[in-house]
Amino acid sequence: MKRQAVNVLTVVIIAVILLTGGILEEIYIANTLDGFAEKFVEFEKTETESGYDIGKLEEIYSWWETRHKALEMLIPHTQINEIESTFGELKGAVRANDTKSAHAFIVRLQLTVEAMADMYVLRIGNVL
Amino acid sequence: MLVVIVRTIIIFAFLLLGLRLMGKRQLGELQPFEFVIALAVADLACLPMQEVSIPLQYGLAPVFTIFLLHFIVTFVSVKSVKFRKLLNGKPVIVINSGGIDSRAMKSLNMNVNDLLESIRGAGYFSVEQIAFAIVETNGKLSVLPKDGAQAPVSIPLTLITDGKLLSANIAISDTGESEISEILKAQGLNPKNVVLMTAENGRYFIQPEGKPFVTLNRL
Repeated sequence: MKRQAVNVLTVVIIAVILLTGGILEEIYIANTLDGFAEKFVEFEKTETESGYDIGKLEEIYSWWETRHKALEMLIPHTQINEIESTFGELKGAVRANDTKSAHAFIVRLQLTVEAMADMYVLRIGNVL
Repeated sequence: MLVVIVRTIIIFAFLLLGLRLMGKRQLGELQPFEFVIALAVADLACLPMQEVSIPLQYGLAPVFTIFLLHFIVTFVSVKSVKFRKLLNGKPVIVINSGGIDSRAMKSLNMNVNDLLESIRGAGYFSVEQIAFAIVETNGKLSVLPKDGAQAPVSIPLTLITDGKLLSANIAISDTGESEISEILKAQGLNPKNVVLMTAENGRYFIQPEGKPFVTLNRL
């Protein structure tokens, strides 16, 4: 009887950890990726005739680097690396004052992040 | 993680359903749901082990979900006989006083060769030696031997299984196809309706479909 109670308790604890972990993870991924996309909406506003504000971009990158480490524990690295490499290309374009390319990279990043956020939401399309 | 958990539950349910539909031939010593766990966990554990770009939780979440499902399934099956039957099936009598029960065999997706293999595995070489044989929920065959039944002196040669004449065995037996037809005709049978016919030391064992078995001595 005591053993069964211990088993039930273990199962309940694991179920709670799994569900809580799952919900928190979903919230964290959604917040991070939505926040990332929003930062680029703000960044786009820094466009002037001489190009984009590299300082602002470095700020976004520092923010991304801190979140990046946590995301590595939650989603496959290949998807994070895709963002990383596009970010690198964007930095290069901003430094070279190539506004057109920079704009294309921003759109690409926004769409990638949007698709990634959608990929980890609990919905029927993702389950099936 | 939530998506992974829900997907694990769905795959677990479908693997279980698939195994139950397959019958009992594939199992061995495990109950169907235990076999499902053995199948799934091995692979789940390997994926994040080999692939460093996949977070560890992609292996841990499904493994723990399966552990939870195992506990829930075991717990409910202890409490409910109906659920236990639904989950594991029930033992099925495949040999009774009339011989082989072909209808029961069909319900298990089992053929005569599977049955003969299982009874040989249990130490019997003729259906005549067996009073009852039961296929357990884990696929194992339990045999109750017939009182006073004699063991065959040689290995019985199978001449017909599931309505099909086995030409290779007939060729090495001292009974030709025409003789088999005559023997069956005398019993009012057609080879198509014979589940099993064996010959052993001048003695024939004939198991018609849906009727008790017949034994004959060669004239």
